[in-house]
Amino acid sequence: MALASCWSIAAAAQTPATSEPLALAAQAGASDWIRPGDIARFALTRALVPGEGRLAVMIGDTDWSGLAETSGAAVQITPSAVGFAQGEQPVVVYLVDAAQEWREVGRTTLRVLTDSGFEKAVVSPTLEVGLNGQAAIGRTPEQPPADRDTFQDLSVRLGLATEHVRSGWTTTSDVRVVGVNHRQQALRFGTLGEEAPFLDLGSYQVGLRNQHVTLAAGQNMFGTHRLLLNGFQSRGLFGSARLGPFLDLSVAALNGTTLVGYGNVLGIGESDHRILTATLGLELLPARPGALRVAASVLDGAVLPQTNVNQGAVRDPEESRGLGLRVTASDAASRFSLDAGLARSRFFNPADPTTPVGVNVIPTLETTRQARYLDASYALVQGARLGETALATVTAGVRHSRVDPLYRSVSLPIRADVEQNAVDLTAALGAFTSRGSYERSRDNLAELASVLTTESRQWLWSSALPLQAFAGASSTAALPTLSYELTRVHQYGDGLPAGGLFDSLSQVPDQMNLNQTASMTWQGAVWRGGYTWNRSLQDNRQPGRELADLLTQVHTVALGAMPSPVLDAGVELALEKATIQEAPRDDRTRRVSVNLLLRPASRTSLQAVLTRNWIDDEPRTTERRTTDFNVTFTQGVAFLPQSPNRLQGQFFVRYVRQTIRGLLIGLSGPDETQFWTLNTGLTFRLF
Amino acid sequence: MPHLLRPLVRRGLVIAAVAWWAAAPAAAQIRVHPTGVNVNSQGATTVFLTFGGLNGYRPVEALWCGRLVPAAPDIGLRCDPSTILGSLPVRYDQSTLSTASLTDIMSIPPSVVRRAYQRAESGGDAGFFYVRRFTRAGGGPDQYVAVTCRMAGGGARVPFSLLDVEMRFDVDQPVLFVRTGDRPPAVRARISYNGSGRLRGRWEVVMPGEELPSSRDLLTEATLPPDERGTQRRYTELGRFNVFLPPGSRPYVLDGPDPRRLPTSAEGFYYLLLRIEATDDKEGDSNLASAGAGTGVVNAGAVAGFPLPPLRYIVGGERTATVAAAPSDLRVLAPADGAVAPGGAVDLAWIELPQADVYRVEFQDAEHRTVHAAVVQRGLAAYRLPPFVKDRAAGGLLRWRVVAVDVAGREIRASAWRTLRLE
Repeated sequence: MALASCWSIAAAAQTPATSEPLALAAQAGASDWIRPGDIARFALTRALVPGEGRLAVMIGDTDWSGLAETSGAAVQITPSAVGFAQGEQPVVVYLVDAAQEWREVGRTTLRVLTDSGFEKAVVSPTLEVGLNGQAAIGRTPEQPPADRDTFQDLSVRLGLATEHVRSGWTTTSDVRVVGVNHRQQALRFGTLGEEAPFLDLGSYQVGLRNQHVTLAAGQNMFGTHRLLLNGFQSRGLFGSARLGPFLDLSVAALNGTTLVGYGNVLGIGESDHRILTATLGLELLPARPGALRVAASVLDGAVLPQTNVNQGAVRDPEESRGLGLRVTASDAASRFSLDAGLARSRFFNPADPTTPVGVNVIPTLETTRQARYLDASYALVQGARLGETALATVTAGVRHSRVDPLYRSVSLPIRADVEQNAVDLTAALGAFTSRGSYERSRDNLAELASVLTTESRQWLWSSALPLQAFAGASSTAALPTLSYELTRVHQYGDGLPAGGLFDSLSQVPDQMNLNQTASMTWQGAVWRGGYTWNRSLQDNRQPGRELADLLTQVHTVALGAMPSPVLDAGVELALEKATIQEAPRDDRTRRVSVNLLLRPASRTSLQAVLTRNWIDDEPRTTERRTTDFNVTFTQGVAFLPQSPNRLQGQFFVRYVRQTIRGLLIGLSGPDETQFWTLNTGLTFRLF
Repeated sequence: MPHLLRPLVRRGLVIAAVAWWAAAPAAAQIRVHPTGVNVNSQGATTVFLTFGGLNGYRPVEALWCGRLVPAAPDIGLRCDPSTILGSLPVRYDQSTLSTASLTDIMSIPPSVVRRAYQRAESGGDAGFFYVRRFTRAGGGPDQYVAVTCRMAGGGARVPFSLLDVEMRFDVDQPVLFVRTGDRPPAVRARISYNGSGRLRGRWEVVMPGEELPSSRDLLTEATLPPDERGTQRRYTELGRFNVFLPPGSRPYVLDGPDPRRLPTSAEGFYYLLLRIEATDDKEGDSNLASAGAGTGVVNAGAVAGFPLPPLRYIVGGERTATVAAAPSDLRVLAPADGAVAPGGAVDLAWIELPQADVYRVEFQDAEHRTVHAAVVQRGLAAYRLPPFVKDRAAGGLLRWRVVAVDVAGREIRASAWRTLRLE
C-alpha cells in the first residue's frame, strides 16, 4: 500500500543473533499519516528465533496481534474492514513467551488520517431495484383463473445513512424510501387504500448531538413515566439538554401513532393527533448520578382512533392533559433501590366522527383522576461468597400501584380501576437464579354497587439453572440449562352486584388458573436442542360453571445442527392436547417441521422447509391434515468483485406447495385441496 | 320519589321490559346467543354473537344504550334515545351475513363503557344493552334484538378476546430493513386482552413474489363464522405457539418465531403474520341452536374486532440495524457469565459465523469504559486475555462481549455481555 507507513525493514533479511536484544528498529517516515484501512508496517531489529515466543501489538487499547503478520524482522498489520482508530495512537509491541509473560519490545506512534476534515465521516447510500412475482400457479380442485394468478411486481429501495463527527459534535441521518408498482404493497395501503402513493418514505432519523445537547427529528422513542407516557415510539421532534450538573430537560412533539410516508413528514402536522410532552430532571446528588433523582413530566395530547403501523386495536378519539412526578433512588452499593411515581390526568373522549347522523350519543364527561406506584427493593445478601467462584445475592422487594377508575393518558395501555400490592423475593446463587412473588389486587375502587368487584391472588415462582456453569468451560456443550415457571392465579367476584343486570351467581367469576412450564435447552458448538413442557388448568368454580374446565398440555422438541458454515438443519416436533371436561372432548394437534439451509458458496443458498400438522379430536369427529413445503434457491452475482457493495445482483426461484385434507368422520368423505406456486425474483443493487 | 328508590324502580322497569320481550318470541323471531355477557368496565370488550332466524331480515345499525323501551309498532325492544352510549363504528364492524344468520363481532369501544360508568357514578345503573336493528326489504316492521352487558373487571368470566395487538422487531423502526443473509432481531407481539384462555396459532411469512393476504385473511379464526373457518389463505409456517393467558390486567408479550427461521436469503418484501386459531372459552361460546341458527356450539376464544397487522421487513443489501438489538445472536462458549479467573488468566471462546471476516472482543470496566479490546481473525474463535488487563479494571471486574464484523466493516452480530472477575 503506497500510502502506508514506511517503517524501515532493512534488517529483515539479516540472520538474527539470539544474543541481540529484540527491539523496534529506528524508522524512516514513522511520522507519516496513513488512512484507517491502510496496512501498518513496523520493523524489528532482528527476526524472532524459534522458541522465543510470539509478537503482540497493542495500538491504543486494542490488541491487533491476531492480524499481525511477521516476515523476518518485518511486521505488518492489515486492519481488514475494521480500520484503525483515527488520530494518533500509541503502539506498544510485546514479546509473549511460552509462560505467557508479556515483555515490552518497544513503542512508537501510529498516525491515522481523518476523512474530509471530520474526525469521522461515513456516507452509505443504497439503491436497489427488484422484480418479484409469481410465474405459475396450480390448484386442485380447479378454480377459475384470477387476475393475479401470475404477475411481476417492480420495487425500488433507496437509502442514505450518514454519520459525521467534528469537534465534539455528531450528526447522523438515516433515510429509507420504498417504491412499488403494485398498490397493495405500498407502505400506506393499510391507511390510504387506493390513494396510497407508489413511492413513499419508509422511515427517517436525523440527529445532532454533543455531550450536553441532543436534537433529533424522525422516528424516535420518548417517555419514562409509566403512568403518563412510557417508551412511546413515533415520528416527531425531540430535544434534550443537560443544564449543569443538577438539571436536565427533555422535550418532544410527537405524532399520535407510529407512521410511515412523507405526509406529515415532521410528525406534528395534525393537532388532533399529536402529543406534546416535556420532562425536567433533577439530580440531587450529581456526584453519583442515579443516587437520587426527581423528574417532573407534563403531557398534552390528542389522538384519533388510529393505530400504529404494525398494530390493531379497538380505539376512540382521546384527549388528555397530565402531570407526573417520578422519584428514583439507590444507595452507593446498589443494595437499595426505589422507583415511585404519581400522575394526575384530565381525560376526555371527543365525539367519534363516524357516529351515524341522527344518533345522539350522551357526551363523555371530562374527568381528572390520579394514579400512583412504588417499587422498592433491598439486597438482603449481596455478593456473599459461595465456594471459590460463585457469589450469592438475595433481594426482597415490594410493589404497590393504584390507578383510579377512569384514569387514562393518551396512548398509554394501562388498566384503570385497580389496586395491586405485591412482594418479591429474588435469589441468585452463582449461576442459579430463582424468583418468587405474591400479588393481591382488587378492582371497582369506587365501590359502585352495580359493578362487579373482582379480587385476584397471584403466586409466581420461576427458576433457571445453567448446568454448564457448574461444569467448567470444557464441557459446555454437553449440559443443558434447566428452567421452570409456575403461575397460579385465583380470581373471584366479591358477591353478586346489586343491579347492573346481574341476576345469577353463575355470572360472578370464581376461577383458579394454574400454569406450569419446564424446559431444557442445550447449546453446543455444532448441536443445539431443547424440550419444553407446558401445562395449564383453567378451573371454573362458580355455580353453573363447575364443569367448564380446560386442561391443556403442550410438548415441544427442537433439534438443530450446524456442522459447518455451509449447512444448518433443524427439526421441531410438537404435541398439543386440550381436554374440555364439560364436553367431554380432547382436541389434539401434532406438528413436525424440518428445515434445511445450505450455503455452498458465499452468494449461493438453498433453503427448504417442510411442515405437517395433524389436527383431530377424541371422540373422533373431525380430522384435518395440512402439509406445507417450500424450497428457495438464491444466487447472487457481484459484477465488480473488487467493490463488494456496488453493482450486485440476485436471482431466486421458489416452489411452494400446500395440501389441506379435512374429514368430518361419519358424515362425509375426505375433502382435499392442493395449491402450488412458482415464484421468481431478480434484484439489482447499484450501490 | 326518594333518591335511593329511583335506581331500584328503574331497574325493575328494565327487568320487566326484558321479561316481557323474552316472553313474546312469536313476535320477535330473530334470536341471539349469547344473550348477556360480562364486559370490561374500564376498557374495550369484544364478543362473538350469532343472530339467527333472520328470515329475510338484514342488519342495520347497532347501538349501545342504558335503557330499553318497547319498539312498537316494530318488534322487540329498542334503545331509549335519551340513553345512547354509542354506535358500533364501521371500522370495527366485522359482521358476516349469511342466508339465515348473522355472525356479529360486538366490539365495545372504551368510550361506551366510560359513558356507562359515568352514568353509574352519578347514581344510575351500570348495566347497558347492545341493540341490533334488522329491516326487511319487502317491508314489514323492523326487529330489535338486545344483548345485556354487565360491567365487570376484564378478567375471568369475560369472553376471551384480543383488544390490542402490536407486533414489532426489537428496533425502533416501523419498517425493518435487513441485509441479505443476515438474521433479523427478535420479534414480539404485545397483546392486551380480556378474559383468560389459551392463545394458540402459527407464525407465517409471506415471501417476495407471493400474493398478499386480504384483510379477511388477517382476522383471527374466532372472528369468522364457522363455515368460513379453515378457508383463510395459508403461507409458509415458521412456528407454532400455544400459551396460556391468565386473567389479569397486564398485556401479554408473545415471543415471535426463532429469528433463525425468518427467511432473509431472497431479496424483497416479507410480511410476518400472526395467525390466531379459535380456542375453547366457555364465556365466548355461541350456541347456534339457542340463536336459531343451526346446531352446535361455536368456539370463539381469541376473537378480535380488527385484522391482525402484518409485520413488514425488507431484505436487501442495505446496512442492517439489527446488531444492537440482537445481542445474543453470537454464541459464546467460555468463560461462563460471572466466572472468576484466579491469576487473571482467561481464555475466551465463541462459535464462528460464516459471514464474519473478523471479530472484535470488547472489555469494559464497571463504569462501562472500554479498558481493552482485541481484533481477532476468523478461524480462531478464541482469544487469550493479556495479564495487564487486570490492572486496568478496578477490582478486576469486567464485562465483555464479542462482535462479528463482515468484509465491509459492518457489525453483523454481537454476543450478550458477560461479566468476569480477574483475581
